[in-house]
Amino acid sequence: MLALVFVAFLPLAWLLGNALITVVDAKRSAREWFLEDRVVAGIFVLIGLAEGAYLAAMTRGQSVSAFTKYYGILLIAAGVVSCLVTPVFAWIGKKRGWPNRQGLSLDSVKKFERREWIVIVLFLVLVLAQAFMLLLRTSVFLEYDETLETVVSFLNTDRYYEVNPLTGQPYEQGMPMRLKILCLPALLTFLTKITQADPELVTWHVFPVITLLGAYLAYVSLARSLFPEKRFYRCLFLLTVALLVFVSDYAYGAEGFGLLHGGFQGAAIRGAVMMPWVFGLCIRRKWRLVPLVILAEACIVWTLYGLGMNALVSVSFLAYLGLEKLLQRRKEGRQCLNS
Amino acid sequence: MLELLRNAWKGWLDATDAGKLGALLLLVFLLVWLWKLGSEKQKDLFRYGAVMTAVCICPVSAVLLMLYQTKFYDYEWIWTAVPAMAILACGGTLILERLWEKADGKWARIAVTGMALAILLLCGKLGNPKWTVQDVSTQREEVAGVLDQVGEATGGIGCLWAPKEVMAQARSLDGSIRLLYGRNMWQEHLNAFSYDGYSQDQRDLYAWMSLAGAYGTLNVPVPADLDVVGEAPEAGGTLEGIACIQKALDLGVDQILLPGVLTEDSLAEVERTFSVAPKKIGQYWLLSFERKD
Repeated sequence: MLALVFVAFLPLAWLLGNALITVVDAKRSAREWFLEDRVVAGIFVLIGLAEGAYLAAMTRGQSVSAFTKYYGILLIAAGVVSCLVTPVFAWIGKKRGWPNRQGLSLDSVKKFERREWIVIVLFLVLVLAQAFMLLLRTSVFLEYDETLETVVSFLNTDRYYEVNPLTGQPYEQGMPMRLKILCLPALLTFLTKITQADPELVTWHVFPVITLLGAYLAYVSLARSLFPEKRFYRCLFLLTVALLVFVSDYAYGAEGFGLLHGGFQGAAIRGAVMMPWVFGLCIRRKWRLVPLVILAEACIVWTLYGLGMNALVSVSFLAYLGLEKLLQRRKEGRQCLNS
Repeated sequence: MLELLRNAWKGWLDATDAGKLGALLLLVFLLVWLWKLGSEKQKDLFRYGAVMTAVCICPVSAVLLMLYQTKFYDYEWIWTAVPAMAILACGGTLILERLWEKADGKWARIAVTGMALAILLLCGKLGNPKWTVQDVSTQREEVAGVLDQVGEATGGIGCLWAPKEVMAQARSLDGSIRLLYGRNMWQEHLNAFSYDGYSQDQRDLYAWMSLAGAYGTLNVPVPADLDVVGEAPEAGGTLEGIACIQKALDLGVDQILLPGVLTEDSLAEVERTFSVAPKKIGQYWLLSFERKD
């Protein structure tokens, strides 16, 4: 069952992300958004749906089973809507003459060179090694984390935060609401419940692999933004990223550390999946999906009233672009005066 | 504010102590700038990254970022705003491209690649154990075995008090177990997850359990450098085992796992006082009392 969920995850994320991108950026959807963009966007949609279901269950004091029901309904509804959206927009696009070329059309696919194959194989070996490490080793950093205890508590009491996850005793003073509304532990509980798997297996091993996958998809998208023409250097960029994941695993807070020792934590997902994708969006000047990431971050990380790192990065990147434009204009003005 | 400023400075010192990726990042900025590398999009990434790196290094701006990301997260997390991995990978790729162009012949290119790889790997985990993460599977298996035996011996665990290694894993292994205190007793950051705190009695009991495991006796002297979160028991005083066990019972504990190193005299005294025979479970002594729930 766990393997089935794992296998179904990618197509589901693609379906939801594809529909969202089709709606949000219909005219350019086919040409300027890539497969990995659609999957990563789908991951954030899945997080958003989980938050909706969780808030519905938690605020009304309902059980974990109620969340499972709500989330299931939302997933089915979103899946059906997504299935309908794509053909409808394709029909509208055809009527209005929107370009229908895919982001990576067949004629632009050149045959891979030998050196590209070597880099791709090395990259895949590193990614697989990391995935196996996550699946086989229990190397988790827990000093700042109580996710597994929370999941086990939810499963045991069938209620959200009825007891303190660390002690199993009822709360005396309660807990911060901003933490209580984060949906990640509920999502992990949902996965554990529907797969009937061991909470530890889902939380510490399988979910971090999904995060790892999401991170590499985000980096593939960023690589396309940074190296649109040079495919070999794009592959080399990805190989360097895979090496850096290993290299940076000594540093708490670094992406590699988060991916290898805390892929079930919101902050790790933010650092390794959301941020690279947002940087890619900023570089490509594609702002329409940035709010989606900002909202997804608010669902899994304690933010300043919803304003997290993605909001900061997007705003500061916009400010940087504005400043750059201003300086460019001044420079051009001076050149005009001189000539 | 001053404390935040101190945290920002300390966080930066820790970051520079722990590794060399920060230095590599600055080197990449320098080389990319000197050699005028990158397309417009890549330059956007580098310029933006350079500004954000400066913001993260400068203590005043770092404090503002720490306030923005809420005080819940430590200094390290403000670096999330710097696309460090993307900059290192993109810069590294461009630098390698330039070096390959300059290298004369196949072997020179191989040497350049080897050197670049060595530099990257040397920036990794080199002897600083600060954040070293151990594989906890063996420890968890041991604790799970102990909890199974306790459950069998008592007909179900109620509220448990045990040495740190058992308390650390118990709740994540079995959600039905209640604990006298959790990991937040010794991992201070976890206290941010709840408004609840611990009483001085609970802190004393944690200290006693740790010290009893070290001394092997019921009555333990309190050292001056006792590492506990919150107010420590008075240094130089003595924590008495019998009183501590009684206190634990008053706080609702049903089962107690005592360290296996306790002497036979100590165990006999416990048995005499509480009329409960200690039972050997793995490397611990189990005291099981009538459940109160």
